[in-house]
Amino acid sequence: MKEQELQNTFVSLVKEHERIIYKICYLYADTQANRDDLYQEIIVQAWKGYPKFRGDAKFSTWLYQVALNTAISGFNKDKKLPLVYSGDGSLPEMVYDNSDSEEAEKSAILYNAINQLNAIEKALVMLYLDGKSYEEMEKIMGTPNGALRVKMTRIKDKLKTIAKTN
Amino acid sequence: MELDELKEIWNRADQTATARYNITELIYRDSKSPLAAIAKNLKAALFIFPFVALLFAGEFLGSRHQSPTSILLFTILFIEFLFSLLNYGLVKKIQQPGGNIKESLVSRIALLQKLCRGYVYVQAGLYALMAVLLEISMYWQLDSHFNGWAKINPAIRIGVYLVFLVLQLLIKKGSQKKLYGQYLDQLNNLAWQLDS
Repeated sequence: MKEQELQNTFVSLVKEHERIIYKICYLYADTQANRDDLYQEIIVQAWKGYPKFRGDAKFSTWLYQVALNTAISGFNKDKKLPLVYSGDGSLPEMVYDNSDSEEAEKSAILYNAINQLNAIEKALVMLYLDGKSYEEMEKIMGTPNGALRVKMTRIKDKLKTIAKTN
Repeated sequence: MELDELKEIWNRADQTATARYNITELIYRDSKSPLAAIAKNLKAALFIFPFVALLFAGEFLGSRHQSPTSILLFTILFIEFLFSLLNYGLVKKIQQPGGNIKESLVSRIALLQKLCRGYVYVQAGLYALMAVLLEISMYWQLDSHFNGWAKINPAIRIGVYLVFLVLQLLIKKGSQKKLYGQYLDQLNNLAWQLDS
């Protein structure tokens, strides 16, 4: 495939699945500037890896892998900051904008709780919220299905406890 | 509110999120990842070698009888260059995105550890080799530059070599920890989070 053709296919596929990247940026970066940088880094990494994408998995699954790998272990804008950003607990505007006030308040509590989870737990919560099956989650995370189920139950309990404490 | 209730809000928001980035423009930007920074440093080290080679070429071409010390130094610098080249390839390999999260974490940890260990021990090996070859060259009186050093008690000479070797080992280990330590700790922590 020619470079231009490859680029066009890549851009249209990314545009189609762009929301995956937005969500990851919102979960893993704490400010808009950091979100922009993380978005750029994910695109750069995805483009680098795209020629090796053979299409034996769904593009969305592959994009989740690249984006999460970048957000979790391959992104460091400021050397003084930790390599993995912990969110500031602010509510992502894309969720806030679509909620009525009571709903917004409730989801804010839950969002703050999600932000207190570790990087791997956040990834699992995101995949869960995106409605991924445990089989797909296994493909993305590389953890066995059974272990993921146990982890999810534990995370839900943890979130409830954090939300209550807050 | 339960996590399952947020699912609905999450997916509703999903429908209205608007695009604001130019992907075509972004794909050709430089990576800001810690591995990209490491690769950049290694690449810079590679560019130094042609200048070193040029300096030695001047000496080698200028005189009929090359000093064994110059040849030795050049060989060691060349091994260093090859090693940097190998490390650069290794970092490029770690940078390859894709694979599931666990696979990617495990391979990054293994390759980075290999890189750190390799760097420290290859350097130590090179210094030890340099000391041995220096002793051989002094024994056969191949280079008059070291006549003074050859007159010193061999036990003192060996002591100096050992102190130098230990010092360089400690310095290299420290610099490796500074370069990769934080990143490796972070990756190990993530692997632990995934398994716990």
